[in-house]
Amino acid sequence: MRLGALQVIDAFVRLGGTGEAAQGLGVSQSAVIKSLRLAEKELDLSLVAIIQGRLTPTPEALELSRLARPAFSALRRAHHEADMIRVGMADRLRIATVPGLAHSILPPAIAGARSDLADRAAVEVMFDHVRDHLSANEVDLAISYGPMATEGLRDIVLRSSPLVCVLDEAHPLAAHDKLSRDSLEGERLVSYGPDGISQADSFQDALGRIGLSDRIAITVRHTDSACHLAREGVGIAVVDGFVISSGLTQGLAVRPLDESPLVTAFAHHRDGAPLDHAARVLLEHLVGTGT
Amino acid sequence: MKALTPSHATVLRAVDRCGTTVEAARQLHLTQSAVSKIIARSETVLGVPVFDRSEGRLVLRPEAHGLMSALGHVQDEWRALRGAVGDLRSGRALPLRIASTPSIGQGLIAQAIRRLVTDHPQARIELIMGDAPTELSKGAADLGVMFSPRVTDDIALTTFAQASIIALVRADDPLAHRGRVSLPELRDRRLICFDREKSPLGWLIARAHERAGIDYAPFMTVPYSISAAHLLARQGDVILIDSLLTQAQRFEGLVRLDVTPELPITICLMTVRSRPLSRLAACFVEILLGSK
Repeated sequence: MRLGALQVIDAFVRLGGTGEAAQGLGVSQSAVIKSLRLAEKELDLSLVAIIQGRLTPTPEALELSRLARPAFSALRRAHHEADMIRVGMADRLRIATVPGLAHSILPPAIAGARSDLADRAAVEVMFDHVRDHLSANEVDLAISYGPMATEGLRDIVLRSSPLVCVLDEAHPLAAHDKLSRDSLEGERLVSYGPDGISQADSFQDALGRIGLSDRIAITVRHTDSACHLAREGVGIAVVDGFVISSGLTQGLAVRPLDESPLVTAFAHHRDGAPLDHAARVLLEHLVGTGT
Repeated sequence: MKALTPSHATVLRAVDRCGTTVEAARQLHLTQSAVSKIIARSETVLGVPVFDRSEGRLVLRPEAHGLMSALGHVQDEWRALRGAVGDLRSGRALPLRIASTPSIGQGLIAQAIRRLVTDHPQARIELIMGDAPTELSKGAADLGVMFSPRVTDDIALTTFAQASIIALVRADDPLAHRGRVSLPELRDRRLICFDREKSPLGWLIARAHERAGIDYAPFMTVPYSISAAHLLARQGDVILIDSLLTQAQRFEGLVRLDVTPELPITICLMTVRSRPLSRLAACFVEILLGSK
C-alpha cells in the first residue's frame, strides 16, 4: 500500500470525481485514473464504478478514505512536530481547549504560568477534538465544560461561574443591575452551541436549566464572536461569567443572570504519567491557586 | 515538497531503537546504504536533523523526542490501516445490507447468501426486514428484494424470479385434500391476508377478488406472509400468501392449496441507480440473477 495511491483515492472521494481529483492534486486526469486502477489491482479492492457515464467512488473507496484519515492525521502531526523543532518550540506546553473557554480563563492562566516560569515556556494552543488530542498524547492539558469520564483521562474541577448577559451599554436592559430569564423575553440571544466533547456539558446544562436552550437565535463558537455581536447590537450574549476576566467585555455592559445555575470548567490530563513542571504551573493558575 | 511516508517513519523508528544503521538495516531487511539514504531523505523532507552522529552511532537529538513519538503514531495508524484494508477486502468491514420481506429472505435470499459466504467466508451481512424501497432510498440498505414493488425513478428493478399466490388451510379443513381452490370458493371463509394499500401482494389479491366479483375483506391484515401463517389458528380460516414461504419453511398442521386461476407474482431485485455497489453486493447480485 503506497501513500501516493492513498492520497489519490482520498482526493477522488473528497472531491467526487477523477477530474476534480486531478485538479486538486495538480496532475492529469489520466494519471489519476491510472493510479486508481493500479491501486485497485494492488489492494484487490473495487474502488471506481461507472455510474451514469461518470467514474464514481465505490463504497469500498469511501470506506478506505474514511479509514485512512487517522493515518493522514498522524503524518500531518509528524510534520507539525518537525515544524515545532525548526521554530525552537520542541519543548512546549500543549493545551487543547473548547472554543468557549479559549479566550476567557485560558489567556490569564497562560500569562500567569509564563510569568512564573520566567517566560521560558513556549505554549501551543489547539482548538476542538479535545479528547482525541489528549488521548493521542498530542497535548499535555485540556479544558472543557464538563467531565470526560473517559478511562485513562483524569478530570479536575477548575472553577464555577453563573451565566452572565453581555450587551451594548446603550441597550435599555443595561440600565438594570441584573437580568432575569423573563426580562430577556423578545431579545435576540447569542450563545455557544454544545461542545460535543464533555460527557456532561455544564454550559448547555445551565442554559437548559434556566430555560434558555431553545431561545438562542445565534450560536457562536468563540467568546469574542459573542461579544462582538453584542457590541454591534445584534443581540444579547449569554455566556459564562469567566468572560469578565478576559477583557473581551471592555466597553460592554455585563449583567448577572438572576438565578443562573453554575457553569463549571474542567481540566483534563492523561492519568498515569505525571504532568511536567510547566503543565503543573499552568494547572495551578487555571484552578486559581497560582502565584 | 515531498512528504514523509510511513516507510520513512518505520526506518527512523528502527534507527532510534537500534542506534546504528547496520542493525536497523538488518532488522528491516534493507541494505545499510538504503537506510542511510532514507534517513537523509527524511531529514530533508522534515527540514530538521533527527539524529546526532557520534562514534559510529546515531543518537536521537533531545528536541526530536516528540517527533519520534509522532512517528510511532504514524507506524501504528499505518499498521491499523493495513489490517482494515484486509477487512475491507474480505467483506468484514463493509456489511452487505439487504432489505426484503421474511418469505423472500428465508427462501431465495438465504440460498444466495449460502453461496456468497462459501466464496467470502468472512463477509458480514445484514438482512433487514422492512420496506425495501424505503430502506434503499434512505441509504440503510444496498440491495432490496421484493414482490412487484412501487418505486421511485432512482431505483432500478430487475425481475429475477416468479412465484404465485397460494392458500394455506388447516389440515382438518374440508378443503385440505383438494390441492387447489378458486377465490369464489373462499367467499364465506375468514381471510387472513395483506392490506391492499400497504402491500403490493395485497393490491394484487384485492384486484383478483374484484375481477371475480367478490369483496376483498380480510378479517385480519398482516405485513408479512409468515405472520399470516402463524396466525392461522381456527378451522375455516384461510390465508392467501406467496408460494415462497412454504418452499422455505414447513408449517406443521397446515396444507398448501394452489389458487386457480393462477395469480403469478414477480420478485424484483432493487438497486439505486446513482449509487455504486460494493464488490460483495455485486457478487450477491450475480449469484441472485444467475439463479434465474
